[in-house]
Amino acid sequence: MPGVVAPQATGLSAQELVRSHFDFVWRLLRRFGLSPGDADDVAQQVFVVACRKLEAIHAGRERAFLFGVASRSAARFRRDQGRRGEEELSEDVSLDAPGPDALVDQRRARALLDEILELMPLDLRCVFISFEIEELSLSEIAEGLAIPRGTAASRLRRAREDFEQRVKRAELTRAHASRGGSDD
Amino acid sequence: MTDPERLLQRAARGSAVDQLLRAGAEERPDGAALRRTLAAVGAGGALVGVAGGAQAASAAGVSTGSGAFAGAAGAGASGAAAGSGALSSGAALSSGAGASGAAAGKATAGLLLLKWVGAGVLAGGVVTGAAHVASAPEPQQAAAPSVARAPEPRVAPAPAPPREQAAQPIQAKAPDVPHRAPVPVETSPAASVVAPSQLSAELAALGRAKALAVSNPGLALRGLESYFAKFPGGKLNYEASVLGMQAARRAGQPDVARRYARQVLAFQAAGPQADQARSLLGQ
Repeated sequence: MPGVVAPQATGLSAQELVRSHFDFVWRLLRRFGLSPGDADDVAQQVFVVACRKLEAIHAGRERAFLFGVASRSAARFRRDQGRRGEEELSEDVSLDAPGPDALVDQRRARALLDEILELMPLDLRCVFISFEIEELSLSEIAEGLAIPRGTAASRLRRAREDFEQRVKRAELTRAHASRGGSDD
Repeated sequence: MTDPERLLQRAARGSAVDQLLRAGAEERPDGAALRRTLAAVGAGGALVGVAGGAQAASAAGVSTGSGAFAGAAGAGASGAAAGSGALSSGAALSSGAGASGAAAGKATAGLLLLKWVGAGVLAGGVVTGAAHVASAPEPQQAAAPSVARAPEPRVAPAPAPPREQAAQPIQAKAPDVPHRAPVPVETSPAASVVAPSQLSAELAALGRAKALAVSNPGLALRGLESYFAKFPGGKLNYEASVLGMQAARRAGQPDVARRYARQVLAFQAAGPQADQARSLLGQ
């Protein structure tokens, strides 16, 4: 049809795709709650799937494509594993170490981040992680999840509120624990 | 349409939100995971690359020829590959009549198998066989399928000499895990031919164990025990050892994992799985 330009397929080879985006996919999977070892395995699945569909990935949309595959793979993996759902978790987390530099320890910070994310509804979490941590655009997120951009924006808004409230609660809990400790 | 400002840009430096998000953004996988995936994608690339030409040759199965463990495609070159798809669908075997590599099947179902079936199931151009591959070429090498032709059945190279430590009779130390000392792989064309029924049976047995490796690693280990009892010196002993190493680690059985790790090294002293085995052994 004249005037219609078909989107170009990605020019990346399979190896280039992996090298460019492996960290991104792996980190997404980690933030979806997979252990490092499971993230290794599922990331591999994601790329094998992606490489089989290389022709269908549009140039410049590689991350959106991988995000879609990774989010579905993570959801399936968690379902298959019978991981506990967010409803089974306690509602609050705390910055359990009362010391002022507890969060300086990156590992602790990451553990807390994952605890908080685990409490978020999966649809919100998915958008939050990809936008705030992996810095995908809302358009990429919408494309990856096959949802309207407005829906992605709405989920992001709710996810942010949820996240910030939980962080505040965690800080309050820490402050409370800290005061309780000093009173003793 | 512009996106809203990101929290990381908005949050005060050093605030809890800033530190949490930064901690998440700065996590990195280890290099071994990338290498394994590159090797697996080598196989995946082959799947894509040969899809047209090899379709005729692919009766069934998924090519896992250059899988993650050894990146063996370069070494194995042409050959039909008994696939992971076959594992999950009744252990059918593909026989590639001269084409290099079988075409894709149900990759999703057996994707993880790329990680472990990898090197083992290469065969000559006409027959479906299996051979353990010793060398561990760069993943890029593994990505290059030789699609054009396979005039002569080629055979994978002999395994690297087992490491001294790994050559210990493992089964003697592990009464609960009937491992067998690695059996050197014959490299003559005739020797590399395995009766399809045997290979199918091996694939089926391992497929069952693999399916349980994550959800129920303890049961997977028992499945592997049966496999080794049934197929001492089988063509997939290496893959079974790798699977055992991983399942035992998941099952929280470090001693068993180490025994399997030694066995893995006995088969193959180089490659991502060997790295993993050494790591388990504290080497």
